[in-house]
Amino acid sequence: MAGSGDALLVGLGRAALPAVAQRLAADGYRVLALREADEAPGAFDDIAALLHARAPGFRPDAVVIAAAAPAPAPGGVDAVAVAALMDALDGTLATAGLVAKSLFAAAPPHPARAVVMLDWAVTSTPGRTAASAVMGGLLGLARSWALEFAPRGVTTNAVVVGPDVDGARDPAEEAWLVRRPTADDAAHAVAFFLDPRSSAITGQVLLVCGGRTAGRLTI
Amino acid sequence: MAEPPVVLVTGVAQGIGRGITKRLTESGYAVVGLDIADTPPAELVDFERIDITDAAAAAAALDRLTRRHPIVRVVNNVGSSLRENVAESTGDTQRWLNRLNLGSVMLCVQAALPAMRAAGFGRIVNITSRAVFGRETRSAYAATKSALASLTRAWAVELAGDGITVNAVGPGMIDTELFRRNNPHNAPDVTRLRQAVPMQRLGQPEEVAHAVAFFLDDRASYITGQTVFVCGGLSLGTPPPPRA
Repeated sequence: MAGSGDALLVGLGRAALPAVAQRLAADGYRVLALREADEAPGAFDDIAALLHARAPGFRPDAVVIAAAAPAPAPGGVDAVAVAALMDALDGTLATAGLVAKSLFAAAPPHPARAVVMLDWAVTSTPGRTAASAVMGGLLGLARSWALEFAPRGVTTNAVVVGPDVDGARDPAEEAWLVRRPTADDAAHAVAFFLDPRSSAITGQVLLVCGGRTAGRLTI
Repeated sequence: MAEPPVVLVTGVAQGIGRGITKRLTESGYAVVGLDIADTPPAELVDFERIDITDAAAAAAALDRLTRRHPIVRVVNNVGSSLRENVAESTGDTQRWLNRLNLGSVMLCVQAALPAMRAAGFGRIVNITSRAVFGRETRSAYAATKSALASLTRAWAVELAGDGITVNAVGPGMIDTELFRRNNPHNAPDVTRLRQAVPMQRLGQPEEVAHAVAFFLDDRASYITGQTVFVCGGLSLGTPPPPRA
């Protein structure tokens, strides 16, 4: 796939995107990955300034945003501390909003492509209340940015990454999957949305799930 | 004669919450309510005035209500919205709406779950929004409603084994004070949406309340994780044909 220009990978919290970085570099992008946990507190509140300080001359045309999903709380919804949930929501959603403001609401030239990567918890996943809320929130942001930034020529799409390959399950139990998705499969979907030829595609959600959501209500 | 079934409704003082309170009372429920405003509807059988974004105070109020009433039905209605373009955001709106639109839900669900589990029966109805599909000029609000939609689906699966159903009602453009405050008549985004409502009118709170009553009904026992959009067809995204 034809890639060119600068691609910025934004990892909220501890999120890292090695497979996406590798894929986009292979496609010909110049890739810069910033991870919130590696920066000074509050640095992502003005990521354009951080970018300018870190890599002057780097002008991202493509931006990929991902957040680490909060860990499951043993005990389900009853055991989730409301204060911890608020921290998770604030940390991800408020910061994501400021990242979008800094990158896409700025004066031109600004990036033209955004992809938000979502954890599987955004689907009907029990036992992961905080992750379901955070990822659902990010989905709402992505869909809203698609509408709000359309007049600026910015596309925003979402990629839902299938459940981790943990090797714990007997593959025969999941014979109905076409195959288990990998991180490279998700990176392929990201590359598709970032491709300049995808410039008429916005506000969409692509689930890279190996067939897990075939024949069911999704999101 | 059996006691009327109790329903907890949040945000009862105005708009959709007031409409839900009226309808559920007419349908034979005893409605207990929460609101920050001290103007509860007359139909309520019990009321706690509370700022639900104050989690400790809200938990205490919910504890009092659950001691006074067997609450196994909850309508998570309280919520607000604020017009704010991404370009103007500071994160403060998101943080406030996280507490009002999502923290409130967590507090009420956690307060009622012990009684629901003990009864092997529960009804949770979350008021989301058509904005779960995204909304320009209020992405922070849309994010909280999309998060609530995600929680609705996740909890439906998690709680199904306890006989608890979790569903959502997603209002579109409903004729309330909140709607009027947030939707200046001539704003371009408001005009776009108003013209895209196939029914070509605003909805009324009682029309939202009707869907809430449906999900609360004992007979809606095999329905979970679902959303009914009460939006005059707006969620279809297709404007009506031009008038001849």
